[in-house]
Amino acid sequence: MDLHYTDAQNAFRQEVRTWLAGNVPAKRLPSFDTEEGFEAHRAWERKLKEGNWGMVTWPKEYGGRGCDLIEWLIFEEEYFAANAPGRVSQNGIFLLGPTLMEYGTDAQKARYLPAMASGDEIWAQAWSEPGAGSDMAAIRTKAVREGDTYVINGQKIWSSRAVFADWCFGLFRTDPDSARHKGLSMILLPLNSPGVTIRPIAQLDGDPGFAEIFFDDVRVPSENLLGPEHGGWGVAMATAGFERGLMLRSPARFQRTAEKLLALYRENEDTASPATRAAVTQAWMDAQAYCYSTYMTASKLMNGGAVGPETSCNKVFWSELDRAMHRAALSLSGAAAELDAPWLDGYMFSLAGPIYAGANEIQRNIVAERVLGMPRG
Amino acid sequence: MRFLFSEDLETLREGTRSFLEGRNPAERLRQQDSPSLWGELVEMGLLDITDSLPLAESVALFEEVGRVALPEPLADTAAIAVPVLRSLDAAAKRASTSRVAVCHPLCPFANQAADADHILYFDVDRVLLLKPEEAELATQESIDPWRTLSTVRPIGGEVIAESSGASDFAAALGAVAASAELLGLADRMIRMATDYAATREQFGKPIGTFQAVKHLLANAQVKLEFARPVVYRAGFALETPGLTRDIAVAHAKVAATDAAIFAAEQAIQVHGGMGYTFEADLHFFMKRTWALAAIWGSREHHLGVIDQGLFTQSVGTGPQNSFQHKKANGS
Repeated sequence: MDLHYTDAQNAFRQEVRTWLAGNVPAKRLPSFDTEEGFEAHRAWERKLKEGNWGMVTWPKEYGGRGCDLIEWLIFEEEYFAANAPGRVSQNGIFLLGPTLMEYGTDAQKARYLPAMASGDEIWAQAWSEPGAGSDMAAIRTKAVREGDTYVINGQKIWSSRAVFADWCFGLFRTDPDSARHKGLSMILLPLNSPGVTIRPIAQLDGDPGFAEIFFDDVRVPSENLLGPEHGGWGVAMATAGFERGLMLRSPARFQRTAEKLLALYRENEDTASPATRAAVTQAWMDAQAYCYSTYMTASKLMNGGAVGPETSCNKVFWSELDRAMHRAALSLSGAAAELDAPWLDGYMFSLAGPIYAGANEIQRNIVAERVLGMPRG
Repeated sequence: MRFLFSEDLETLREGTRSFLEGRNPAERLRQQDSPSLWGELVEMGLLDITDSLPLAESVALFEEVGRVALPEPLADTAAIAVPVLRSLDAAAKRASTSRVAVCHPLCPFANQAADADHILYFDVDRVLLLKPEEAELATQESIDPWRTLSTVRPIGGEVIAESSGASDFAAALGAVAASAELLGLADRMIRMATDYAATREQFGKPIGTFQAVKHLLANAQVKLEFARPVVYRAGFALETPGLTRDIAVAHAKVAATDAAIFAAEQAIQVHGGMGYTFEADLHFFMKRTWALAAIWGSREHHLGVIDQGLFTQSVGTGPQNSFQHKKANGS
């Protein structure tokens, strides 16, 4: 146990800070769920790539810096402290990237990772279907093998970024006679493939942040299979592990929100109630707790340990913390809380947190059954 | 930066756990005349554990003490008196096997003081070391059957320090040890409820299959998972006085208290009517939880410390202030 940064870690922090100070756009970019905003964020990803900051934990040959997880946390801390733009490439760099690193062939890694780190190829997820939301094993969209090609037919829904993204990754039923978790495969495909139709879905704020994807005889080369054929469930669970466990929402994000909430409280101290002061204090404590927990997980992984089902606790914790922080901020905002402003935007987005990446009810089931060993049934 | 206990420590923790679970099973908590385990605790090296381990690592062992609701007041001697006496160059004032009870403004009811070899008595700016016969002890009744409490009025003894530093140090040590024990208690109560839910049947199946029951305990587990690193972080701060330590310790006590009280409430709910009986073991662990929640600074006390830090002293917040950036010498 040593909770001090090394000289090298401090130097790394300084390097990140200096680069961000010289490069983060002064003006908030438009939402990446609009066409204009998406391209502005893609341009930011390219800028990051110029500085070689696309995904610091990846090996150098794939566009990274070979950083360890503690350095990644430091990078994230500086990134959020600098108010740098949201990562439009998050599905790729935080979710698919680590999965590729684990299950991809060398050819796949070389093909996909550098373009992911540079923002040249931005990825959407294709998990859920109209009949397979929380119950993901109910996936029906078929990918039928014909020689060295998969022919895909069916429909995905709630695909974040799919309206403007270049590629998607998802689970498809490759064994037509299979049921539930068996017979699924993880397949990567370009969204401009013939037979793909994207229908945008307007989110709460009116922007098309997610979409339905329709597949009508879409032909995909079999080399786009990631991991074992019919073994996609395990691959997907690894991705979900990263998503819930560590990468998708780094603690810095919530520490930054807590810091802004404290500032908002101070501005409104004369009219704020003790109840809100208590909520602000709790928010700060919980954001810190999530940070400590993540440093502990990172240390465990760096020591050769593995992430287990306890990571389902993370998703429950940070998503409900985020909602509580934004609720407190709106309470402090008085009548202005009704007006379109970052705290209201943030509150709306925070309502999605307990739903996406596996609804919190599912996470609680996983905690009960797989951490505590309670009986299924 | 390494937020992880060493493998040696984890091995020691395992050994301590199996020793404590073996020697202090729940049945022992019903035997008020059970012979003391003090000699065995000494033999295990638990009394002078902070001589052989950094304070940050010793915290993990008190989690194990909490898990079994150990009747012997180990923390008073091992987690508080030994480090405080060492910090005052006064370690020689007690025999290495002796038991020290502690009385402090934040822990005003000394536990098992009449049977102790010494009482370490903290005023705001003065520390006394007394024999039990050098104090007037007035009995107080704890809800916890294993805590024999008394107020302490010194009528003799030796002044071993005259500053607030030792008292502050004791308060931090006491709060972190209690927090660690609360983590162990929370874990134990969640496990007891889990076990009960696996065997108790209603509507033709174990109640643990019902989502409503599962989610009660999942919520308790989430709270515990996010209290544990906060306590470990405070353990690491113990050696370095200052605002960072004060806030880390306060946060630990609040988080551990909330996690354990919440776990207790979910556990009794899952046990149903049985949970409300003396016959079920749960109450021993709930009562220890209530006791430890109250001492070494209540929730109110520690929330006050954090409030001061955030709103008056403007402690560094935000993502760049997760930990101190400078590497301290010798810690």
